Amino acid sequence: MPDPLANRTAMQAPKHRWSAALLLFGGVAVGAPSLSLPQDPHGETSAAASETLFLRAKRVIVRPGKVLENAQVLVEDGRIRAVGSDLTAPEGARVIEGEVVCAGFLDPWSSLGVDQAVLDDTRTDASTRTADGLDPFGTEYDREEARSAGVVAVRVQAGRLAPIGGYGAWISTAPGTDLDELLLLEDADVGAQAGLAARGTPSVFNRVASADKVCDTIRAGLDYDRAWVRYREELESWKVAIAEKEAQLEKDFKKAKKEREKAVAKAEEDGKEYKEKSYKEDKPPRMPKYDADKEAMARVANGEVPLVVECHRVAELRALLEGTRPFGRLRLIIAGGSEALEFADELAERRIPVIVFPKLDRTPLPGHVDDVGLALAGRLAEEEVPVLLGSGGTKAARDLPLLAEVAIGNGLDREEAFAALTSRAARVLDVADQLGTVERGRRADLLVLTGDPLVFNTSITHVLIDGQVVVAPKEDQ
Amino acid sequence: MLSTLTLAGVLALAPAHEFALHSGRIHLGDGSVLEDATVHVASGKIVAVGTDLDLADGIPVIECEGELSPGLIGLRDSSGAGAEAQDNTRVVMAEAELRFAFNPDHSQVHRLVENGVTSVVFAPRSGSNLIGGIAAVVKPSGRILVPRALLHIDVSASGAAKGRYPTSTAGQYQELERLFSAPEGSIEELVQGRMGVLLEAETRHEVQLALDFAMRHHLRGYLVHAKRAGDLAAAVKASGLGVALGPFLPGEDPRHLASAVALAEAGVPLGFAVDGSRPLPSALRWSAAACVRAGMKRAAALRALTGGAAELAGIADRVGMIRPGLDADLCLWSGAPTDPSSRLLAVYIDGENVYQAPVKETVEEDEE
Repeated sequence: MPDPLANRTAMQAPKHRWSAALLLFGGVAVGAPSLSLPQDPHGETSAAASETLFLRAKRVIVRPGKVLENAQVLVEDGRIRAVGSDLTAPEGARVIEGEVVCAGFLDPWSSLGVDQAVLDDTRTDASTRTADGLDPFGTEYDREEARSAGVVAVRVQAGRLAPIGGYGAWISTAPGTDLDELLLLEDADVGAQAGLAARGTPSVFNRVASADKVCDTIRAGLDYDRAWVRYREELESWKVAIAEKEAQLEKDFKKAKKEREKAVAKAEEDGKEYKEKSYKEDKPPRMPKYDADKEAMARVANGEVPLVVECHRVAELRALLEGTRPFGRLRLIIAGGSEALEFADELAERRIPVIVFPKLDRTPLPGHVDDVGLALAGRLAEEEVPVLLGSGGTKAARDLPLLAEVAIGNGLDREEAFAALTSRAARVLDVADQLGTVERGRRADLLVLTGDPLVFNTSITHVLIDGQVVVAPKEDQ
Repeated sequence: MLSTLTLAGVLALAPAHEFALHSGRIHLGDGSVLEDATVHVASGKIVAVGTDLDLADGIPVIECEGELSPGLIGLRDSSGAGAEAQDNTRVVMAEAELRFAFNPDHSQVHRLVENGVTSVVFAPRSGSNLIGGIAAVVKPSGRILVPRALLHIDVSASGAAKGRYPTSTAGQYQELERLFSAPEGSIEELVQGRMGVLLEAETRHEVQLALDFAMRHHLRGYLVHAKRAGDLAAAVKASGLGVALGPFLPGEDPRHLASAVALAEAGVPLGFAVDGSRPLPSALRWSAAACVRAGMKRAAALRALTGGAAELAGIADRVGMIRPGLDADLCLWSGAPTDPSSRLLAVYIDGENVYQAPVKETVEEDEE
């Protein structure tokens, strides 16, 4: 499988840039006061030199399907420095022992840490940044609960009910209020929806129309991108043509000058105004008008960032799947997908992941034939659709591991559920270089457990985020 | 997989009225467990349960790969009732029997079975009734176990109607005391202890007043909707009332879960509700799991789902445990019943196999 990260342009490399913070003042000014502070006033996370940690476990789950027995993990400067079964603890390192060590859980569909007004904004567009709505002060408690349950990062999305929600972001559930440390990836995806309405049940025509709109927006992004490509090509050839003409004029300069002077004199004699000779090369190609939203959609159309569309019912799913077929490089992800089983074959063939929210209080959809309910994740996985699990855009990230257990109890393979919560979520939403596996060079966002993950009897003893022990038993603090 | 097949096979052949289930673990419903034991069922009742049962020849023994528990009991539900679950044309509906709203053919009722729920207290939904009506105990198979089980009294803010008497807490109690001073009908049954009360109170203040009221009139029964009752655990314990917890949902306020744990630790009789504002049968086991995660003992959580709930609903002599003489309402799980990752494999109501988990299509490969 090609590395999706390789597609990203250097400018949008998955790391935090201050531009997001700077843009905040011009954009959705929510939680802005936090930014006027140069640093977390409590100093909770800032500048504390991170200690060297040495984790020793009976099993280290490197990634789903790869387990090292009696293995160790060395953590330095917030990163995983080494993973192996013959490592020795460096002097002065803090040693933590446990049964199992695995990657921290990821919630790819959350709203944790983001101001409610940003989530409810119905007038967002593709270039809106969810990261700008990050409110590290109001959500510290929620993040604490999430990390205690082993959830180390969440993807959040602005404008759930807007046709296009804008850039979604990955944020850490680490303690503290330093935006720079909390924001892991500010352009994880572009979010959109088809078939949702702020109020009431939209008719099937409106639902299909909203799916068509998503596809039209991708098309517009692609056209925009092509216009720029064409412009750049034309600009190049124009530059060449101009250079050639200039060279030619230079060469014939004396002759041309004489001819011009003659012509000017003649015009004067005739009492006419002299008209400068024009060359077609004078006119540069027209630059397309800059459009931030279309540019974001161009990145989507080119597969540089994935497109996450919340979409539930057959009519709009069909319209969306049909409408996106022409975009070969698009990386489509379905969120919700209540009736996605209907399209399991196509989803499996096109490798379109579905983020399932195992929703307990789901009301059956009107006119729904095959209501699979909590079995959705298991059934999709059975059909080889790549399944992710999320907390449905709620703040219940804390409950995601338990929801995953519910999905297991309703037919999802435990290994699949673990992959969904770790490596697959990271890969599909472009944080695989940072999160999702216990591999050298990754962020040290790790769990130490008393047994295998996603087993009801297992409890989490330690949670590491960015190499810091953020959850530990009382006697170990 | 094979055992499920065997199970289905045997069921098709055996005379349905008498059989035995053998399992590695049987949860009896009071928190205790029998290892490697057998339940003997005849004519819809449990005849015997034990580790070395002497079964007559010819009684088919079904080998269960998984753990058996009593069927789960929901302490408040209105599955399938829709608008029938509430009649707010009058403030006091003391003689309205909810059993008339029970429609066992409704898809929501089927959903109960799919979640291992075999009995529910079918009760009025909260609205603007001071007294909502008489709750029945029903089984999703259609059987009405107790037609007049508990009287629903709502002393929460939602029980006070807007724009008509009583609109305040003081008014609610004035009206209640007036009705209780000359009790008749269901209220008479209530004060005589022949009927329980399903007492709806939400805030801690409402709970406090409700406890006083219940003690004043020597009522038995349980509180519903009282999400922070654990802060008053000692007072609840002293009142003799139980509490129907939940239903809890993902993202539940941790104080609600802490409240449940505190009640369990104080020894308050507990059960779980299916219905908050609408039926959520899948939230029943979730609620129990969430309580366990928050610190409740597993045995206590399972007891609240089964035997404990039966006691609160006044039906402990009929259902809620695996005990000779009780109805054969049983659930077979792939693992521990309180573990959310355990799969529900089969459900029996009155000895009848009413649910069987869909078998995956890989059986043939398994046999090879």
